[in-house]
Amino acid sequence: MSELTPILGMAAAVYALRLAGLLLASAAVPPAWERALGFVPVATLTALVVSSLAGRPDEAPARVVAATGAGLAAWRTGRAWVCILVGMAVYWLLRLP
Amino acid sequence: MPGFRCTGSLALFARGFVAMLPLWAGAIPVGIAYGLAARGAGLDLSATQLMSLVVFSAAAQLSALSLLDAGAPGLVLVGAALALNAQLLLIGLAVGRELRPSWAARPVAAYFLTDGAYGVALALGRLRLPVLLGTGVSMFVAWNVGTGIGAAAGQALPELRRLGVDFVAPLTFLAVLVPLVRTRAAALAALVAGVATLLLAWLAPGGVAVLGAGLVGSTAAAWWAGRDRESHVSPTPASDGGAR
Repeated sequence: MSELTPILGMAAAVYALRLAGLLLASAAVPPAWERALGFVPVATLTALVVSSLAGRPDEAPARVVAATGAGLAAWRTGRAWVCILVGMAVYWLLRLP
Repeated sequence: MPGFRCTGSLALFARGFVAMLPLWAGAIPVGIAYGLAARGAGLDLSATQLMSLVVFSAAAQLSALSLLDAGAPGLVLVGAALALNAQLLLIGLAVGRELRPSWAARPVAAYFLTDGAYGVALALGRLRLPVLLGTGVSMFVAWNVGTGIGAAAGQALPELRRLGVDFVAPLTFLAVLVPLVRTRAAALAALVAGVATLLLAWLAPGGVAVLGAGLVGSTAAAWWAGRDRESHVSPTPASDGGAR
């Protein structure tokens, strides 16, 4: 299992984040920092979507169309599994021929 | 758990656990998708399951698959896991301020803390620690059962890579992302980060571009929200997430 080190590193990092909030509860965090922290996941998730779509130029058209459909499904239903299902279905349909 | 009255706490824990069951319908399929994607990315059965047991974050785990695929170093994986879960720090602060849990209870409560568990516990009335533990453990069970099913199914299905299961990762990011874009500032964070990713990809390898774009996008949004606040009060973007 060559991935053991990065997996344990990620586990430690995410746990530290979960624990830090609970431990720091009595400390005062500057509001500007709290505001910025709230936007980090949105920005990073978008970066990951764009980067993984751009990372497969061979399949870019199918993946962009499927991702658009999946995004609409997520927006309309708010359900993660519907989003994944719609995205994979469109992607497979477009790859059929 | 130290400091609880046993019977009452157990009932509250059960209440939290049961209240989370409807969300299993969302968490298990996503867990299955992660399990399949992980096997498609070349992780073995034990690594796939271990990640769900110790990291317990859909976004972080799927980002790890994408980044490993792009050949990113371990530190970039850790950085992405931190960035994708920054909201947990805010949720932890909120829980800590409201509950003031005992020092012994904090490490346990932290392990199972997720957006979804916090949201459901909050929806059950005044936030209480055993309820929050119940919702958290419930989600942990669902996520790991889903992972196990997906990883086992991946064993039986040949040629996962050719089926394009790596595409599950960006779809999961979209599923988590879309409900979070509820304010103009959040939309700006997404827009700036998206453009920055494309620009930075010319300069830096994939994973580093993602982290840089995350930083640029959230800074831009925080600046915008701060400016906005000077003229009128607008709500901060609270993360109460969907299933996870």
